[in-house]
Amino acid sequence: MTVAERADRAATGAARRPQIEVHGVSKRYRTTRSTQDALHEVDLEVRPGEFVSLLGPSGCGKTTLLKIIGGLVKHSRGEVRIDGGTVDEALRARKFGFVFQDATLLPWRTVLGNARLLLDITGAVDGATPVEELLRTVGLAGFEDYYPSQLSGGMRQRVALARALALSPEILLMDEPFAALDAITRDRMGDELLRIWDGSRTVVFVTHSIPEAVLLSDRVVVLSARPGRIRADVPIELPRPRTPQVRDSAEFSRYEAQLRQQIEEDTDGAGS
Amino acid sequence: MARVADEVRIAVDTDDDAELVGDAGATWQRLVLPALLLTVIVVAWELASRFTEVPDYILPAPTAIVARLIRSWAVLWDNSVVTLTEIGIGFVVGVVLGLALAIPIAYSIVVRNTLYPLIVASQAVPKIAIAPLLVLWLGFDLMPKIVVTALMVFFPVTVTAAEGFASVDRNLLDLLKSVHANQAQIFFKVRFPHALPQIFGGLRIGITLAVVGAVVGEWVGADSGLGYLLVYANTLLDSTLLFAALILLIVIGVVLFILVGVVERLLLPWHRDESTYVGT
Repeated sequence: MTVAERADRAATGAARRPQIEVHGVSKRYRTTRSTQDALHEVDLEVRPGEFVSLLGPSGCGKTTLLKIIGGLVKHSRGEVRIDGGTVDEALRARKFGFVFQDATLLPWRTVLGNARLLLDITGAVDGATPVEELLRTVGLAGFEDYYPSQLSGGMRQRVALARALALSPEILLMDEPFAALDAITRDRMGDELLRIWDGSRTVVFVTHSIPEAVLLSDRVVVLSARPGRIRADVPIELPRPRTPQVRDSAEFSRYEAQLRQQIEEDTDGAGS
Repeated sequence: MARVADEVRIAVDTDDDAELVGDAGATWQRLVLPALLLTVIVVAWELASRFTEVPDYILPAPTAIVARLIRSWAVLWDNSVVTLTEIGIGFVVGVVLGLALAIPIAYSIVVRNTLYPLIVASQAVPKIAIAPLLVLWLGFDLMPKIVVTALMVFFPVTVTAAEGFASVDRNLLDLLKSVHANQAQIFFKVRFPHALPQIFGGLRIGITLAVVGAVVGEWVGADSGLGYLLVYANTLLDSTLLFAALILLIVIGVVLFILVGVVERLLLPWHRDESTYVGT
């Protein structure tokens, strides 16, 4: 996508209503012994086609926020709208694709079988892109008949990504998808995602890696811990398409420093 | 593409080391070493009974037992068929019962808390103690043997299956719920196959217990079967026949155990090399 096209899309996107709207959302977990506020009064808007990262330390509620958006967790207060409708409506319309930290593949299904899992369950035919082609896109051509136990961690996550994309979701919700991988594979998967994501899908990406967030995102939302609330909302104005080399630029480092400062201030605040 | 190939190569490289220390020596060792030990024991036993004055009814020589196996084959075979039938039916009943119990236990905390203590208690009851009662209630024919066998088999199946059904990854279940998968789909497409490796662990324990169950059932009231033959030979002080029946029971137990393993490998080819790759 060229810069001009992107600007066009951003303009039409701005004219339309945000795809994801989170207003005053709080989440309180109750156990028999204690209550814990996981999220407090969170507001967030994500435009169609935007790549937004939720960045923060462990336990800041970023995963909870992601699961609330995707309808996997019920919030205690506030409102979540997807394309102006409810989360349940969005779920019924199969607008969400999920990728988790663990690939959660079925060991008895092949790569192709795993990528087709949700199609088999919904009885749907292939989405806009046939599954075989999706596997090619995520770099797994030739591995269709392999079992998960024969794959490396990075390849398993590629399968999980293909599985999420199989139903052609408008919104991709990714919960630290590369956190369980070693540093080298993790960087690689970031580069791959950069290549695969073409701006046609909205992505909400949970991570605790600052460089990962800067590399991938249009916007990085920093959350503070206990209870989770939004601390900063930083647009990343690095030009697209981005290449892995963008990591070496001065601008990239500036964004990293800015985000790190936000997180550190938060940690200091918590300490005092 | 090249990168993926790299990842595979890394995975394969890691695997080589595992094979050197683990599997390479193990395959022949698992077969040869026990066979060697058994040979030593049998030879020592043979020599001992030849060069001492121990009478046959105390400890018959291995060669005498083999001779008896051949001479009394017709009787031994007929009784083996009876016992095998009891084992087979009792095992199947036990497995069906075990799986049927495991489903409500896996799905409901209330059922689990209600049933588990009773199920565990049922295992503490010595089967040999209730077998006479079962004979009293159910008669001398097949029925009490099947019940004793099934009572022994169901327990490991219930425990392993309930564990397996319940141990599916939370995120995977969320994923299925997000596309509105129904309970039947979740059970048959995910929970059941997920539990199969564990269930087969239960089946392997169950099949060895089934042999014991059938013999115990025959012990207290029967007119045929290898267990009956054991008691019969014992009262006649016919220890050669007793050992011959015992050897057949051992062979049946080992063969059935191996058979369960073969079925597992055929049904779960994906499970065999579960541990062969170290993820990178």
